[in-house]
Amino acid sequence: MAERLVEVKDLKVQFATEDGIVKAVDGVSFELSRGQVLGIVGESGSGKSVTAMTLLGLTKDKNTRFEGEVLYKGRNVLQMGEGELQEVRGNEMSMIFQDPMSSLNPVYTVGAQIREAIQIHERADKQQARRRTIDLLKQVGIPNADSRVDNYPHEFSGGMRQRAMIAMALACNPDVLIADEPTTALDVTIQAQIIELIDRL
Amino acid sequence: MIAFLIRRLIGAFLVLVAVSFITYLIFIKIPGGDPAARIAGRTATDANIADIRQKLNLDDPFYLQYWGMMKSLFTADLVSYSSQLNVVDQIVSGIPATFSLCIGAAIIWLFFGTLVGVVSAVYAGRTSDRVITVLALIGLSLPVFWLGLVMRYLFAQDHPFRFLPDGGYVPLTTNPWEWFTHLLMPWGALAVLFIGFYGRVLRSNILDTINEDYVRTAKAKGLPYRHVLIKHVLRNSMIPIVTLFGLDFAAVLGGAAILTETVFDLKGVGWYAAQSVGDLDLPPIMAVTIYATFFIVIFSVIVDLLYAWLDPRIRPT
Amino acid sequence: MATDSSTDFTLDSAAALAADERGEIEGKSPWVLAWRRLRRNYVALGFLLLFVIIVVLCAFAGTYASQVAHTGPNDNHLGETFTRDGKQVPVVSKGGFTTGGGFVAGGIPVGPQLWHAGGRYVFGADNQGRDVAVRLLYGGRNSLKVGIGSAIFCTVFALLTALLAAYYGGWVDWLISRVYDLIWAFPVLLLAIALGTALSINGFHHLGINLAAGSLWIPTGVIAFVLIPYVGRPLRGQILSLREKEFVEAATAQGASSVRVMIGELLPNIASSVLVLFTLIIASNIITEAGLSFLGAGVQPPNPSWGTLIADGQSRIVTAPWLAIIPGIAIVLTVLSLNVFGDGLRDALDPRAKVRVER
Repeated sequence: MAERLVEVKDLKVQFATEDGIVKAVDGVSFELSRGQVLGIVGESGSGKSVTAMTLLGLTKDKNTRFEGEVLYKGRNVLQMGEGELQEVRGNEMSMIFQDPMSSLNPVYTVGAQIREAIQIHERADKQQARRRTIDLLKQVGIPNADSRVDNYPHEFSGGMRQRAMIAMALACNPDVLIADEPTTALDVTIQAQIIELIDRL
Repeated sequence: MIAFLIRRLIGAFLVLVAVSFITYLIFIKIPGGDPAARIAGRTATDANIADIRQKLNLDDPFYLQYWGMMKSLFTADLVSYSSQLNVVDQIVSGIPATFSLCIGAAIIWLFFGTLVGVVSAVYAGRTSDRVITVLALIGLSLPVFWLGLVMRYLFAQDHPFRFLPDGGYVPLTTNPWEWFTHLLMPWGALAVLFIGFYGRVLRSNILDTINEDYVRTAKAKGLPYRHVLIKHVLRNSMIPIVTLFGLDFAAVLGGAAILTETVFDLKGVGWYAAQSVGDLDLPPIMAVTIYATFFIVIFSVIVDLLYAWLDPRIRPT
Repeated sequence: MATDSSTDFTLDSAAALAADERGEIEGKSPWVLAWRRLRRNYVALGFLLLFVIIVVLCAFAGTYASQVAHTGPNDNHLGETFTRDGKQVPVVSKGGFTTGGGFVAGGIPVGPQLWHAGGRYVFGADNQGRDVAVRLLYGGRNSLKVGIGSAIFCTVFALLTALLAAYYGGWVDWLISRVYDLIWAFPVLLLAIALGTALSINGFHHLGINLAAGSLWIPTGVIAFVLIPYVGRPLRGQILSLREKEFVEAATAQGASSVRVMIGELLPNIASSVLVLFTLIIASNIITEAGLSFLGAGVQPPNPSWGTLIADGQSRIVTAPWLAIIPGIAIVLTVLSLNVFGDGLRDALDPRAKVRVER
C-alpha cells in the first residue's frame, strides 16, 4: 500500500474582510498517496486555489480562520510554525502557480531564482546549484539551457516560463507537487505540452 | 547604448539652451519697463541709466544681448550688475557650503527614510506603524524655513541649553568640528521633509510589493522570511526610491536648498541665487539657473541609466 | 464551497445560496465602497474637520477683526497701551530704566495675551503694534486663496494637457511632453522665485491680461504653472495605460467621439487619482507659497500671508519668538490636516485595501 502523503480532513478556511466573513473553503476532504495524481475540479471561485495554497500554509494570516486538519506525513500543516513550514515548502511539497509571468521576480535571472531554493534547502554552493539548475532546465525541455539560465523572465516565452517554474518547483525533489491551474495563462497548444511534461515527470 | 547617451546629451544641451533663454526672457521682458532703470536702482540719474544701457548693450536686439551674456558666462567673464563681482567666482565659492549641506543631508535622509519606510511597512497596521506615519506626515507638513527658525530658537539662542552655533558656514579645511556642528541643524532641517516623504513612498511600495505573486512564489519555495523581505520585497520596492533620490539630490545640489541656506546663513549657491533674484541681478541669475539645470539634466540621464540597470525589463530609450 | 465529489450544482442553486448568506445582492459602485471606507476612518475625517475649521476661521477674518480684536490687520498701534487684567500695558515696550533700577529693552512687542486682554492681542503684537491674531487670519485667507487657487489651476491644466497628450499621442504628445520637460528642468523654487519676483515689479501686462504688481493672482499663477509637470506627468502615464484597455476600444467601436471617450471613459477612471493629487497639491502649494512669500517673491506687502508673517518675525526670533513661530504652527496644522485627509482618501479609493482590514 503506497504511503499516504497528504490527508485533508474537513478543511474549512474563512477570511474576515470588510464585507463580512467569506467562507472560501467549506468542508473539503481528500487524500493523496505516493505516485498518485489527484485533480481538484470546481467552478471558478469555488476555493481551489485557497485549498492548494493552504496545503503549504500560504493562506495563514491574522484574518484567516481554519478548521479541520491538513496532514502532511502525519503532521498538521495548520499548526506548524514558520520554521517548520519553511522546511516543508519547496523541499517536500512545492507548488506551481497560475501566471508564470507575475510569479517570477522580474529583476532576477531565471537561473538565480531556481538556484535560490537549492542553495537554501540543500546548502549547496553556487557552482553546484548552477549545474543542477541547468540540468533541471534541460529536463523540462528548455533548449540552450546553458545560456538561457542567465536570462530574465521577460525574455522567456509564456510556455518556457511555465516550464521554468516547473523546474523551480522540482529543484529540491519534493514528494508532493501542487499545480494551481498551471495552464490557464497559456495558449492551447502550449497547454498540451505542459500537461504532457508534468505527466512525464 | 552609445546612441542613447549621445541622444540624451544632445537633448540635455538643448534643454540648457532653452532654459537659459527663457530665464533671460523672464527677466528682461516680463516686468516691462526699462531694465536699465531697474538695475540702476531707485536713486539713479538719467546719466546713470544711459551709462548702463551703453555698458550692457541694452540697445542691441535681445538675441544679441543673450548671446553676449552667454559668451561672457562661459569665458568666466560675467560680472554681476549690482555687486560688480565675477559671477562664476561667486558660484564657485558657494559650492563647498552647498555641497556640504546637500551631501550630508542626502545621506541622512536616504538612510532614515529607508529605515522609516521598512519599519512602518513591516509593522503595518499596528501602533508603531501609526505612530511613525503620524510623525512622517508631520515631517512632511513642516515648512523647512520655519523648522530652521524653530531649531535656531531652541538650540542656538542664549538659553540654558544653547549648544549649537547659530548658522554660518565653516569650511571643512578650516575646522572640521566647527564645520560639523554648524551643519547639524541645517542637515536636520533639510532631511526631515525628505525622510517623511521617502518613508511614506517606500512604505507604500513595500506594501504593494508584498502582495505580488513573485513574493508568494518565494515564500512557497520555503525561503526564510528575512531572505524574502530583503532579496525580493525590498529589492523591488527600492527601485522607484533610487530614481526619486537621484532627482531630488540633483535638485538640492543645484541650489534648491535656497530656503535652508537662507535661514541658516550658509552662503552657498542657493543663497547666492536668492540674493540675486531679490536684487533682480540678471547675470548671476542666468549663471545659477544654468548651473542648477545642468545638475538636473545630468542626473536625469544618470537616473535613467540606473533604472535600466536595476530593472532588466527597462531598456534605456 | 470547494468539493471534489460530484454535486448537482446548478447556477440557480449557487445563486440562491449566495443570496441566502448576504441578503440581496446589491451592486456597489467603487465610489460607494470608497465612501464607506472613508466614513470609517475617523482620523482622516477628524483632520478634514480641522481643515474646514481653519478655512472657516480665516474666512471670518473680518468678523474677528471687528468683533473680537477691534482692530484691522494693518492698523498700527505703536505707542498705544491696552488693558490687561485691569492694568495698562504698552503694546510695544518703550524701553528705559524701571524704577527698580532694571533696564527694559525698547521696541519689544507684547506677547500672546490669549484671553487676558479681552480679545485683543490674543497672539501678541508685532513690532509695529499690529495684532498678530488678526494678521494671522487675514494672512491665512491669502495663503489659502493662493494655495487652493493654484491647486485648482494646476490640476485643471495638468489634467487637460495630460488627457490631450495621452489620448492623441503623436506630435501632440511630443509637444506637451517637451513642454513638461522644459518646465520641469527648471529648478522649481528658482523658477517660482524668478517669476514671482519679476512679476512683482510691474505686474503682468501681456496677452491682454492685466495684473497689478501686488495682485494675488501672480503667486497663484506662478505656483500653478511651475507644478504642472509634477501633476501632468503621472496623470499622463496613468491615462496612457488606461487607453490600452478594452473599455476604451469598446467605446470607440460604438462610435463615441474623441471628446466623449476622454470625458466618458478616461476621466472617470483617473478621477480618484486626480482627487487625491488635488488634495495633496493644495498642501504642497501652501508650503510653497509660504516659502516664496518668505523670500519676498510671493504675496507682496502690505498683503499679509503666513509666509510674510514668518519673514517679519525672523529677525526678532530671540525677543519675540511668537511672531515667527505661530504662523508656522498655522501652516503645519493646515498642511498636516490636508495630508492626513489626502492619505485617508487615497486609502479609501484604493481597491487594494487589503492591509486596512481590521479585526
